[in-house]
Amino acid sequence: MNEDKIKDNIPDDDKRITHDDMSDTSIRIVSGSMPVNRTPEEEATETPTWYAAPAEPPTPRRQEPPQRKRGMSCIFIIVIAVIALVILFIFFIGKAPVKNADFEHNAEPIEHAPIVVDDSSAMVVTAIDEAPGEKAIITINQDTIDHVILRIYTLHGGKAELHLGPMDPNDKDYLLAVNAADARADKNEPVGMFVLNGSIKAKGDNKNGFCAILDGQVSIGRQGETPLFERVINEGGSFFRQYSIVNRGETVAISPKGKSYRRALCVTEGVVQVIESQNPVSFETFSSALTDLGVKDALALVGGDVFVSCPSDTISRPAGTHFPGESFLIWRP
Amino acid sequence: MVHEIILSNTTDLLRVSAHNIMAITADGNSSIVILNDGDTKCVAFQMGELERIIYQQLNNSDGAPTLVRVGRSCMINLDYLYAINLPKKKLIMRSDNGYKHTLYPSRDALRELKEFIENHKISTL
Repeated sequence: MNEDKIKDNIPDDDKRITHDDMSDTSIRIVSGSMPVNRTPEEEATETPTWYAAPAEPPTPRRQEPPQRKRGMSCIFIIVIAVIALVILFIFFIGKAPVKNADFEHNAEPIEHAPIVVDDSSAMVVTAIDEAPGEKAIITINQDTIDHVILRIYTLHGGKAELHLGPMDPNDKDYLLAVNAADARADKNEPVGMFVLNGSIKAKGDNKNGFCAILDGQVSIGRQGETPLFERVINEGGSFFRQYSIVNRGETVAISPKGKSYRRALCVTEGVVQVIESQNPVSFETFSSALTDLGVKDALALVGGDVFVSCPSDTISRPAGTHFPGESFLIWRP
Repeated sequence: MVHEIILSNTTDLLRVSAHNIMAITADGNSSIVILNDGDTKCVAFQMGELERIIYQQLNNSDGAPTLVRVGRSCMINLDYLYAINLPKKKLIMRSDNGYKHTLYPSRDALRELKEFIENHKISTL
């Protein structure tokens, strides 16, 4: 064994790991008796470089202008440009509406209408118990206005309450139960602000109408911000938002189009009514029929073939579909 | 004259005749020495270190085999160079006993190697 060679395996001045300046696109003769191609710089110096014959003067890899580096620069510039465009879009153009975010059976995708806070038209109407202490009853009528068949549930007395989630099938001790707030299909929670017994369950102000329930009494209105919300939070009431379709006897245009079975929570001169169309109609036709019927204020409820139950009703209705995030407005005697 | 290469670190030592080295390829932080009989040995040296060690051990030795670094990832013994295929980026090494080994360096390095051999009229076999 050549011990000297072993010792000289790595010379003292080369024991450190040096940078490998070899390019991937060139060759270099390491050993042998090949002709030496020296660069002028190497010819000028008396001390030869450690390598034998570089085909080209090796240049540090970092100083090369590789195409990959240029490609990465282009990608970086494109990414910055895209981010800038997104920021511009968000802050100057506005957020794109989330389509199909609301759940409504047999209805078109609901677009979120901007909240219109009109103080002159802002009004809250509250149901009044006509005969306190007496047994609560519900009367059911049917009327046809301009080819719109309306089934009218009028509540006399009773306590309203809000319920989130599926109803107990064994629970029959109520006068009327209807779906209250629309639900977001992507989050399975009610659309807009939803307060259940003083506890906020969902947030959002994309609908200008609201229904507040305090001590079993229903109040509906059309306001972007309402002091009733604070009362509901403080007094353990319930609250949800929906479209206001009739305000002070005037129809209110809302964005959803198309035809479906429509329902509305109406309060006229202190009397609470839930009015349901028996044939698919547009919101415009439905709200016009309500005003013709004499309704002063109405708040849209979930339409379509969702679950609606009135144990004392004589008509047979399908069982109704259920959906995640459903909520119910229930009147109990 | 025997031109032996000794690659030694704290745990391993490889002693091999430089004439028997067909090629050396990079494998991460280590390198694989491919011998002309098909045997391979992994050594814990990066290609740059290996190149430096081989140069120092074979420098100015008469009759030493011609080892050429082809790109960053491989080093070949020109005695075993059999074929270059630029379109397929193939560098085929072949030993006397018929053992073949194919390397895939970059096309530019292959082109330069091809021109180098053409210019110096080197007959490999």
